[in-house]
Amino acid sequence: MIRILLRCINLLLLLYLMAPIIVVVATSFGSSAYPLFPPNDLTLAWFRKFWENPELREALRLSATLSATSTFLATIIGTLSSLAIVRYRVPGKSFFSVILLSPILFPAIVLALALLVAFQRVGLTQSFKGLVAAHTLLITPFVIRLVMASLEDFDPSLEEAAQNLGAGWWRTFTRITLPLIRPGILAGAVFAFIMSFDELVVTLMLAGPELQTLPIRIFNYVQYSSDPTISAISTCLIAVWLVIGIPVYAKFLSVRHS
Amino acid sequence: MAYLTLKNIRKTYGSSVAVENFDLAVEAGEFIALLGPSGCGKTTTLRMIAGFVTPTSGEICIGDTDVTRVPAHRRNVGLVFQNYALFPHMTVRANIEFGLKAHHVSSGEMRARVGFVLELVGLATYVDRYPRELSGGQQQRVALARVLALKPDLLLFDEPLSNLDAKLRVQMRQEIRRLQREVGVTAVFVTHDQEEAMAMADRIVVLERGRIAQVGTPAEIYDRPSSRFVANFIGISNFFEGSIVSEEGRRVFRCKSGLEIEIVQGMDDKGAGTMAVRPEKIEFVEAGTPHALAGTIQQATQLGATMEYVALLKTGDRVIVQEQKRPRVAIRREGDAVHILWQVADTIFLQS
Amino acid sequence: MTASEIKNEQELKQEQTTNPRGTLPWFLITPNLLLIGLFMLGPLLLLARISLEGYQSGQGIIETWQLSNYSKFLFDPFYRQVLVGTLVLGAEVTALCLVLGYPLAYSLSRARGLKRAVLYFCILMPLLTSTVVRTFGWMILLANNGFINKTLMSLRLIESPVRLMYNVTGVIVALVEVLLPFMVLALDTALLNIDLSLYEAARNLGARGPRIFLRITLPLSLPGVVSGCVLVFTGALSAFVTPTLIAGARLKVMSTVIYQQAMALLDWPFGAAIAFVMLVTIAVLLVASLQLSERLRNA
Repeated sequence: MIRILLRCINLLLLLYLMAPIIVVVATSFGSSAYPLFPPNDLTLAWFRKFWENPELREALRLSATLSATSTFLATIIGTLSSLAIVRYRVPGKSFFSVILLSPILFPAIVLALALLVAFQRVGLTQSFKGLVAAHTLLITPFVIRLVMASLEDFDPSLEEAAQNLGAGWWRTFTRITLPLIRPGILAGAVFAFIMSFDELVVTLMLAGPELQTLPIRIFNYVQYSSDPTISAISTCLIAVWLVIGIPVYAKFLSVRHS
Repeated sequence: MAYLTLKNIRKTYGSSVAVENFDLAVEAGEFIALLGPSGCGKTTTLRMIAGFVTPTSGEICIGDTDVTRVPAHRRNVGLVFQNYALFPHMTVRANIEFGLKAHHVSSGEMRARVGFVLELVGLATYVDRYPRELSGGQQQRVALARVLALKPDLLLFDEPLSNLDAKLRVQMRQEIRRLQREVGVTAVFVTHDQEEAMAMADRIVVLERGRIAQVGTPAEIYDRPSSRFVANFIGISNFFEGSIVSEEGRRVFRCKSGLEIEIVQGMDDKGAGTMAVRPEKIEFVEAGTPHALAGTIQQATQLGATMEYVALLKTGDRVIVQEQKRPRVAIRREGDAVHILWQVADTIFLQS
Repeated sequence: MTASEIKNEQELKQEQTTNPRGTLPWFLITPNLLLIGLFMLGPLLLLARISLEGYQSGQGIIETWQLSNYSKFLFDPFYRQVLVGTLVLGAEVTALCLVLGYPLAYSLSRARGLKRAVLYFCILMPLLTSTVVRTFGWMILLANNGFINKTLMSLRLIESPVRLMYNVTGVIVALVEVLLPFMVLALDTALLNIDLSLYEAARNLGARGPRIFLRITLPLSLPGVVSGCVLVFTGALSAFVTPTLIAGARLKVMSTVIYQQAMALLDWPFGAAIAFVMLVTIAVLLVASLQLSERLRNA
């Protein structure tokens, strides 16, 4: 009896969690001029409108470039740090890992203001370089978390065996270590990219009129107009995240449990 | 001139001493076992030979080259790990080729060697399998093939059979010994299993708390242990504390318990010490046999092919006696009165 | 072999396999330390300094040392209301997340295999979707002519639309959904940590479902409750997107006030002070929760 009740409650809760996403995706196909849920007629017009809007396309391009650059830097920096923390006897190891993971702990608005204040002094406000720096700071902890998880499963005697067979540290690292921690690095990079792409608050305060990323455009659009084009953009984003996210996450989980 | 020499090796970690006063000379082609309980320093010593640990002081020489400061990947020694350490993302072939590629062996030669070593360990048809598809014993053989392909100067084994079940362990140790003889490579084998060491090694190095307790052939170690630790670690022994005294023309080992063991001949030792005798060297004799000790069976345990008895002597000493089951000899039971006797030649006297 | 001998051997093995070369760690970790130092610690220190400076519109930031920004935020009735309001909002959201999240976490922790993977993904997926997109979805749902109101009216439960947008209620509905996954995942971790054999022992002693839940599951899951509440409360306290989009100028929370001060009014010192009040609140909460967890662990 309680079991059935529990199941019903959970179903409702899952529905509650999914509700906004379902609504957004549904309205992107609706034909009315404002987002209507549930939609009456179905159309793909809003997707076309999104694609034909130069501002939105530019925002997409900017976001992609910004996130790709930041993810690239974050992945390298984060992987190196994970190697150091997990493998070597760094004095004050747990202290370091807390420090390196700390950006996650701070409210975005606080970091945003701090960066605004600091960047203004060095002329980095409203610059692409500044945004890359800020994004890299924010997403590196995600890379570290996921790569560390992969590394902790890694058997150090494999590296010893490689050395014993004559491989120097470069060959050992590239042929043995790297391939085996690749799932963790990939999962970290994908997660970091998503976090960077969706980042709003910090970007909002640091970007200028020339650097309107997609989240900023969506944020502004949503407040001042009610157009299902936004739904269309959002649906595209959701689809992409699912297409990239699921396989990478699944591979990461399966490798961990083997 | 010895093939592998360790001179006065000492290794400390901060204030704790892992290995000290370690001197050993291994002849070419010899099979040496490093034997001892956990924490005795045997693995540390092996890893110093492999190059993963640098000795705090001392020298390691292979042939006439001092390799003490040579990094691990430049020493020509092959290490077989306890957990096999096969690269999971590579096939058997790729695992073996890995080392060959690192040594820049030509592809023709590589193919030949891969074929040769897999033939040697009997896994030629498994060449394209992945480690996860192989059993423990097969993985162990691939690990061995992997190091043999590099024609190492030394073969090192870090408790490689611990993860295998008993029957497989016996099979594999025969395999390893056979291969080692066939290839003719010098080998150092670390184990905590004394039966394994006895079965495989030409000489055994017994370690106790970072120091060498005794070096010798299996027979020497077993029949003439140099200390109570060695006598107790290898096989079982009966120990009697007391002293050898001469009185009224006879020599006697007078135990602290009051028991008197008559020394009929030989054993020129004097003074206080421990007398040790192995259970299988003690016989049951008829009542009235000269010098026999009387007692009763307190416990009788079936060990399969042998019986193990605990005989309680009048002085309170408990003596463990092991006897092979024989066709026309009855098994003794608890409460039976017995008489036991053993030869001077089988007695070990450990001076205090 | 004794326990200490085993530990010794393991420690020796650990020492032997790590740190073949002592200098390597530092160059691996330096880029990250530089990143954190230059782009987080430095700016935060600067922000702290600025929070003690003054501001005059027209003149800009005045270099001085003063606590008036803090006293303004903490004692001025208008801003006191903002502070209290944000804290109350945080508490309400946290309480709701706890109540709603527990059943979901309970089921998740008991699920195995594919069922668990699917459930886990369903709960994790909203986190991958950006907050803006999710809040936009809520804007559509909560509108006067949105799905919720239309449904309630067609079921004749209400006569005229309930105001769900541009007020606290809407913010709470949306914020709870946004932060619920954090609570569920924290609770799930704690529930999974409970030794299964405890349940078996309890059943063996004759206890049944509700009793087991109240006496074993609930108490032993408290560490998860604590960490989940901390996560959600922190998230609610620092929320910016959801309050802005759902309530706009009608609801003032700390984040929106900071934004306004920083971007519109350009009174950075004041904004900085509010930011640090937020940080201190979160820090106090974190410390308190750690102490609570410690006490729970020792109980």
